[in-house]
Amino acid sequence: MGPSSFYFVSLSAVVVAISLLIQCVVELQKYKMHDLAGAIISVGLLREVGPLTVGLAWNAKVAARISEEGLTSSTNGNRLDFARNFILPRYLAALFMSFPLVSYGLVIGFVTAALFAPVLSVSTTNDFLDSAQRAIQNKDIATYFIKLVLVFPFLAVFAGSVSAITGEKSPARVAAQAVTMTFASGFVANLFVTTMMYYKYFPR
Amino acid sequence: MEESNRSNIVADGSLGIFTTVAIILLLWGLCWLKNYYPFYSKQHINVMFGNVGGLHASALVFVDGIKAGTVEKVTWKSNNQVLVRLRITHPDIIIPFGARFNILANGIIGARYVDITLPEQPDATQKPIDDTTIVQGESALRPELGLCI
Repeated sequence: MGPSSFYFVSLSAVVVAISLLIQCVVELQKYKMHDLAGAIISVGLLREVGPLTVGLAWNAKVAARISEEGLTSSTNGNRLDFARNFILPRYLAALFMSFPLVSYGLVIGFVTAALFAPVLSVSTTNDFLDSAQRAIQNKDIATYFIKLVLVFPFLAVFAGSVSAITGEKSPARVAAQAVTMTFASGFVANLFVTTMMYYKYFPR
Repeated sequence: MEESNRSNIVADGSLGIFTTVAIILLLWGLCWLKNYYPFYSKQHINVMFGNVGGLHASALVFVDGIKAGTVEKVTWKSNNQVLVRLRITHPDIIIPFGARFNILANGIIGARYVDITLPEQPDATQKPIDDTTIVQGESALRPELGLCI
């Protein structure tokens, strides 16, 4: 789940960024506001689209792998040993690997969108970057890293481990359960983090 | 055994390179985003405006139509006193005392930016504005108010 996930994260970031760019440009062109594409895409990628697509997909993969490993690992029925010897090292590994992976995902997605903007005749790469630079705030970067480094890996390891302990004894079913749990808890956690981060901007 | 050790070293090394490159990319990205250039000195200017008309941090600063820097911070001090901290990042541009600061907009409701007009006849003795001085700016023009009449 470390560097071998780089290709998965990179490919996901590239295609998600291009899709988002196309969708934004189509709508913004109706209002002659395509100059704002950089701002909208970069903020969208950071706050929601990046975490909910690339981030959750990678974490679902982690959860599936952990659930299968957990199923075959010998715990002798002692759940404390299982937590100490199985869950903790995998949680730390997920935590430490998520930081470089999400950094790559962010940079690759952003650069892809900037390079493709002129292809769609929206703006030059420089205009795109200028617009993004003005729009991105510290809070957006913090939101991205809180979701992808602190919250989602925890949910993935938790979902994988719980599925391994409580699920059926078939690796395929356990993995499917772990993936489902990761996505469901990830969506809820995403809403929670978004609410906490942007609560003060809610219209009164 | 030796083969296994060697493959472990290669795996650890590649993991280290992988992480280091990610950290470098991230730091570079953050420096770009915040217009922070650690390898040359930049000028900070504190300008007091009566009304900034919605100017926000990260807005652009122009000198003669050239992007010269960004707005670092906007702080409300008291009634009709808004302190705007500018960061000039263009390596060739130095803002001396006597420069005028205006807040303008791209179009009627476009994004606000700070426009700096340098003194007509630059004097060699004019010192650059330093970090501790607060200079007065001209309040933002608000054409939308005219449309409401």
